[in-house]
Amino acid sequence: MWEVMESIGITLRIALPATLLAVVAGGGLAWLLAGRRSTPAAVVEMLICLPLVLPPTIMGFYLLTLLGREGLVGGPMHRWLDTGIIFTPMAAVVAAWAAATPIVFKTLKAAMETVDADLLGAARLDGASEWRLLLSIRLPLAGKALLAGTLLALLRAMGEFGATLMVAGNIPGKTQTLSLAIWGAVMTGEHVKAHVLAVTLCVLCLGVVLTVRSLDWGLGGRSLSG
Amino acid sequence: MNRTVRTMALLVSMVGMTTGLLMALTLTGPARRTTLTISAAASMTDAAHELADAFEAEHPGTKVELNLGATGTLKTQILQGAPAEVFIGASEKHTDDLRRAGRLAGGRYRILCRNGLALVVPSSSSILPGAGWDVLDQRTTRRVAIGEPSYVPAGRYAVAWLKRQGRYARLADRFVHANTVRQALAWVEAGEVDAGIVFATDARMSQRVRVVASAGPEVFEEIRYTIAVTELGAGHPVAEAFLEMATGPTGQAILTGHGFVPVAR
Repeated sequence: MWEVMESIGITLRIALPATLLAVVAGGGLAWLLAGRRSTPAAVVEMLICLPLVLPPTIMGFYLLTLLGREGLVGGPMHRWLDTGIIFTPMAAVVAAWAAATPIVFKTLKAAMETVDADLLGAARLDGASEWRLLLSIRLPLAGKALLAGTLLALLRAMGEFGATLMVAGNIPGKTQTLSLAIWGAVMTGEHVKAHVLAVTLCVLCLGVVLTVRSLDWGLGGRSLSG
Repeated sequence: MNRTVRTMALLVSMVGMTTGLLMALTLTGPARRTTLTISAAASMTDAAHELADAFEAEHPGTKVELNLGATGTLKTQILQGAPAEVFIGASEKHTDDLRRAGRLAGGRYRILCRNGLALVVPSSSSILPGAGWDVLDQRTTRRVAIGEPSYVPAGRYAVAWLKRQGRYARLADRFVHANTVRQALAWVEAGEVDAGIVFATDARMSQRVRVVASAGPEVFEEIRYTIAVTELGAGHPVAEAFLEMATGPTGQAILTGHGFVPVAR
């Protein structure tokens, strides 16, 4: 039972910061790229979306090569700061963040692009800056999309498995999230434990969905699920 | 007005970013005790936990952290410099890859224990225990699950064993390849295949399969689990001490309790 509680704690402590970072990064990128049709923009968009198409294990392998002791990022960290993030919860945050960012990005970008161009043009004509447009027009109109994107990102971060296993390891009490614990229980033939953990993860997700739903009602309007 | 809005937006995103980073940083708390990180094959999970507990009891002040995964994954992690001091692998081939890449302390590894193969059928099957490997040749045995031989150790061993018996070539089209040995076992449990070849220790853990033939280390000696101190663990007395304990009487007794066969002395 303690193990389950521990896994819930680890899952949340990894998924929440990862989602927060994904909302900032994905939202920022969506704002920068919304409505752009140039080739460089398309290339950047493709790169952001890579984690969606690559199998998580491969994603994890790339992250491992990047963050490992001999990697582009991990190498200097190891040489100059004498520290590393492989096999730490921080590595799991990075893995979940990489998986969740494209989800926020695509959801928000689509929402921002549906904003009437005339509306933005009129505001610009009245002298509004791009920041003003973002805060007074784009974000309020994209509020529901932001909420939906955040929810999807959080769920994705909570369920992240393949890349996490590769960079954070599967260390009980340290980096073993609910998803990793389920896999571990299946691997060792502990089916009852696997079911208990799976139900726990589902209940946790349900809690998140219901919370977001009530927030959505607060925003005024119909719920996300229709 | 405009400037205020801009500053606000900047502030909000900065606060968001910092909060996220800080939340993430607090995860990496200060290390109070000596920590020994052991990467161990997932098929050893229960035994590895018990070995870790026994070691912590013998060495107060030392905390063992187990990283459990497929042997191939663990190897990849170590090749990329992951901070594991001890490596326990289910396949001598992977261990040898690490040795040749210079990732093992002193270029050495030891045999930790051995394992056997088991031919299992769903418990609903009419095939009786002790039916023997000839079950594979019966016409009613249409599909047989094994691990993908190119990367699942149990699958590679199964193929080697069948080749040695001279059965492999004529049975080749009956095999269904699983991603892990656990998946092969799950297919047998679900009755999706007529039989499967898994490690003896896997077969022992499942109540929903019946062992109808086995090949223990006395006839098939190739399945050897290895243990080694990694390059990163070189010179750490705690890592060496763990190796001594695991290959010594205490460790071997624990492994035997989980169905592994001790190293022949």
